[in-house]
Amino acid sequence: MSPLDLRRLKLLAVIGLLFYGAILARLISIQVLGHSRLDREARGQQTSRVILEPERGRIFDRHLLPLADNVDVSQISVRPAEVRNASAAQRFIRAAVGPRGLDRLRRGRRNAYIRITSQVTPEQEIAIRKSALPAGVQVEEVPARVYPLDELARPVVGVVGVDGVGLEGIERVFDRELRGVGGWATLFRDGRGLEHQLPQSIVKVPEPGWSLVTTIDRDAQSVLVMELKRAVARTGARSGMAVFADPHTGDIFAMATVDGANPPDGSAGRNRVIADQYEPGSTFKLLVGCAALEEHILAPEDSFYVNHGEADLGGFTMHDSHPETRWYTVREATALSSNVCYAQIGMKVGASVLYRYARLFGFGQPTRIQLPGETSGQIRNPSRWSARSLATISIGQEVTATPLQMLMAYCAVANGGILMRPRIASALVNELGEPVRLYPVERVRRVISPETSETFRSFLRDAVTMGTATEAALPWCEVAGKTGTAQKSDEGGRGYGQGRYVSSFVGMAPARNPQIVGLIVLDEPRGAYYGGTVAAPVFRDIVATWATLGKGPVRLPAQTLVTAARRKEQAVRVPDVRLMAAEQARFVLRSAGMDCAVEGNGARVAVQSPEPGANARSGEVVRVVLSTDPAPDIGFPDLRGLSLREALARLSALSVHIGGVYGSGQVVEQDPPPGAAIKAGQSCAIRCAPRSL
Amino acid sequence: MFEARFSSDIDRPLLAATLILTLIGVAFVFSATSMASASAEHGLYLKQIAYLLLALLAGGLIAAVPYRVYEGRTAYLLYGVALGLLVLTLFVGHVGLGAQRWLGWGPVKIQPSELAKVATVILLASQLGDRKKDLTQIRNLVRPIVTAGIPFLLVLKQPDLGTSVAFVAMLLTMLYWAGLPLLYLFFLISPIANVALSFYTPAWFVFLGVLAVILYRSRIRLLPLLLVVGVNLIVGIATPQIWNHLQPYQKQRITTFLDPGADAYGAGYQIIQSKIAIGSGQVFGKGYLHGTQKGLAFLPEQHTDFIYSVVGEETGFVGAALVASLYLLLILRGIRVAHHARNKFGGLLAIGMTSIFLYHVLVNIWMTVGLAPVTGLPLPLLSYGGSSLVASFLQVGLIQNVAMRWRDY
Repeated sequence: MSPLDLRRLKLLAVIGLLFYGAILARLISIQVLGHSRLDREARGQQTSRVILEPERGRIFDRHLLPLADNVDVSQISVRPAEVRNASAAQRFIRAAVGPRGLDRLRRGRRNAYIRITSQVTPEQEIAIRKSALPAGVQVEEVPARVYPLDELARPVVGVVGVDGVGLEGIERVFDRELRGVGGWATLFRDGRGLEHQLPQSIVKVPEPGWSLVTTIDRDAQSVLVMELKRAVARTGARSGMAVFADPHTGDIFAMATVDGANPPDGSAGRNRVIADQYEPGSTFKLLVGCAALEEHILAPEDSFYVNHGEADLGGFTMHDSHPETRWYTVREATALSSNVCYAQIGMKVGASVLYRYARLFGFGQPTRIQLPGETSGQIRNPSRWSARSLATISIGQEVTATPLQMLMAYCAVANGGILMRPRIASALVNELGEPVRLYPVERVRRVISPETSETFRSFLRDAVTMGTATEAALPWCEVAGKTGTAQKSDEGGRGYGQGRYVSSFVGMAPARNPQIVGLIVLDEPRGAYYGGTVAAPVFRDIVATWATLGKGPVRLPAQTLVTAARRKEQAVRVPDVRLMAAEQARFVLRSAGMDCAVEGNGARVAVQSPEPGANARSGEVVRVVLSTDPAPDIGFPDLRGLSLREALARLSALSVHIGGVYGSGQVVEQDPPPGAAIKAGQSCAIRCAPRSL
Repeated sequence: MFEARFSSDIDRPLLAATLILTLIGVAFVFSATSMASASAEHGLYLKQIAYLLLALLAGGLIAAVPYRVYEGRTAYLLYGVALGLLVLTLFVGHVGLGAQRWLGWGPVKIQPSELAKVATVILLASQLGDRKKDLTQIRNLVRPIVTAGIPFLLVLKQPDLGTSVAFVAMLLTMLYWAGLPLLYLFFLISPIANVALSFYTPAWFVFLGVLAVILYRSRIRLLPLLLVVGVNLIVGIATPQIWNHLQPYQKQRITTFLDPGADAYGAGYQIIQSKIAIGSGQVFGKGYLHGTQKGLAFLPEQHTDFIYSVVGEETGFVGAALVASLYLLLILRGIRVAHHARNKFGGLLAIGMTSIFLYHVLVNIWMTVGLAPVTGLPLPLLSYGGSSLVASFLQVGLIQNVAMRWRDY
């Protein structure tokens, strides 16, 4: 063997070893040292994260009827890149949406995705479903929040903004609980850009928001708003407020604000029951009377002499609205609402005791209701009172309170002397309906003894039977209550102007064992302005109508049902049940006193006849046609022809597990087949094949 | 034919490495084609096993015949057949991946360039095996250069740049083994280096300067000197012109190698994807059949040219290094067989076959780890493909042929 041969052998071996060394070094650098970056890159390009929005919790009334619910609405959108025939797409959008849609299309031309409209009317929807969609145009189901009572409960229930965040009312206060926890799914994307849900896909299932059970009674709320609207219209008031509660628990049955033609400052839809303060007038006498009785300063039958309805109270004169010359007992002074007497009672009670009782009853402090934007009203400290303050405060001027504060004070008298914290939310429940958080009834403090409260309740009963509030009387139920007619102070100045009043009435029924307490406040009624004339009848009508519906705490005695039914024979407007599910539509129509004839089978009402808002007699049959859109509750949707992603979205919306995805592209087969019933925990397997050309 | 005397001299490590690599190949062809997204490729591993049986038969046969039979006329005959097939391919071949590479009769498809490599090595060994010829004489170099040059051009015309360069690689290795001094080898390579540098004029001038100094000091004869200078000048001037006549995809492959990130979803995509797959395998890999880059078809050509990426992703550094080591073993054993060969023809035969392995393994693995451009060369023994497998076994069979008969002659 020559040395030359050996040298060649060595050189070639060394070359081989060098190349091998280079490979090893490279493997070490990318697999051992650089792997985390490359691994991240691998994951990054393999996975795309899809945010799964949680379903927002619903808001129920006390009977678990929805006040806020979720439905899917159709949204028309365009992906310009996928449009093949531009004029066909334009024709379609003009036909479906009108010129406004074309405008949107033109403006969004450069975007990848244009939302044309998310407010497809049922008529449009039917037209869309009939015609084939041109390429690039799609109709998607997007979740929408619906409020069955709509603006009737808006100030209380609130509203959700476009970004899904609660903006007002309960939606805002309980936003965090209602919203739920968002989930996500990682879809694996292959080298061809197709997305797969693989077994190793990480899915964080969104947790649906908790639903809130409120203390609102949907019937009471509807009745309250309707009657208040009528009252505002009839009296020409700038605004009307009403709130009803259960005195024993502080549960709010209904709460409404109705603005008239010329509403006071503040945004429309403001919940004035808690956000606005007013000078309560005579309803505030409750506090003075209770203080006098509780502190044994006066007995119910102690008397005051009033001469020509006026009295000189050391430098100024107090007037009664109905001047008389007579003796008044405390009972009569309350029932007839004598300012002169009450000014004198107040002076006997004294500033510090009066102030102490005002604070005890909760004036000047927030009630801590679970709603946003509460104000606390104002009662000044006695050290800052003027010479006549004691007298004027005794008749409910020079102090301000929110309607809710006043209501809670009366609730204390109605329930035997305990101030309750008003409650609007009673429980949060999860999607299975199990309570996850309870909001118990909260007693704030005992304010007066049961005896005092019973005595004062009898004064209030007298006010209805023989005093200022006779208009509140019901033939079938004893009512107690107190009127209030406060002169409004001049805007920006001291003293009281002429002709501008706040008229109110606080009532309770049944008088001897109150189950409901309600307050009606009408701001600046035109013409008649006495609380007894203007507000008391509203209370009576609300209680009567609510009792007629038969589910409230106060029920109509059997023999009066006939007369009550006759009262309902007035013309009513047909409610808008479009887009509601059949059962929901039937319920809404039944509660409006109409019957419902359902045609077709689909998820939602598409067309109704008579149309919403039309006048109808009660008992009229409203014909509703359900849309032909296959409904989730009919069974499995037909996924065939859908993209994998769309199919997965549909299935996740139905809380169906993905049993397996085979192949890629378009769904060609599904198991179970379309229309099969969906059972709890059901899974669905889909097979895909590349989109045929 | 297999006398005990011979078969006992079979190079066992070489045989073991070959068989292990082949079985690894079948396993990873199965893995690379096992995903649902590649249903059309599901049965490929079965076909690969069938090819393997065919290849074993072919390798056994070629090893059994004493290698001296291949020398001389037989070499020319084999070479002639191979060239004929290559020419035929140009006219009636199947188009695949932008090139005409396959020749087919019904379901049977072969890639004649794979067989041409084996035939060319045999002929080169036969030509260079003559001890009397002084390779520093230019006229003695002409014949081997033409022998390698014809298949080089025919394959280049297909076009298949990677395979055609294999003919250059085997020629240089065998010339060196046959006794051509390194200096002359340098002169032979100089036009190639010239090509690479001719795009950058300052570097080209420096190179020409270095070449001039070496030529001056080497004191070679006038004719070769003039030839080297002339060829270099012509190549340097002509290359930019030729570049403009290259196929777009060929240009792209070269530019992609220089900057793979510039075209992440085009040709550079393959290199990046391969690196990501191998890198994400980390030290121990994601487990056999559990590669996710592979599974999602990110890897291009994953059962053929990029099968090493699948190995790297699923078995990690451990598996990738093991496979590379098996190839190193195969090549070192090949060199050893060449070294111990009884005669010059046998040595050249073994080294030529080894050089084909060396070139393919090197270029393919370097490509998958991002050290070399995408060339479209299969990884011998591992990649799916009948022609490649049969050719590899013919190569191994010839090396074993030489190994078995080192006592002969």
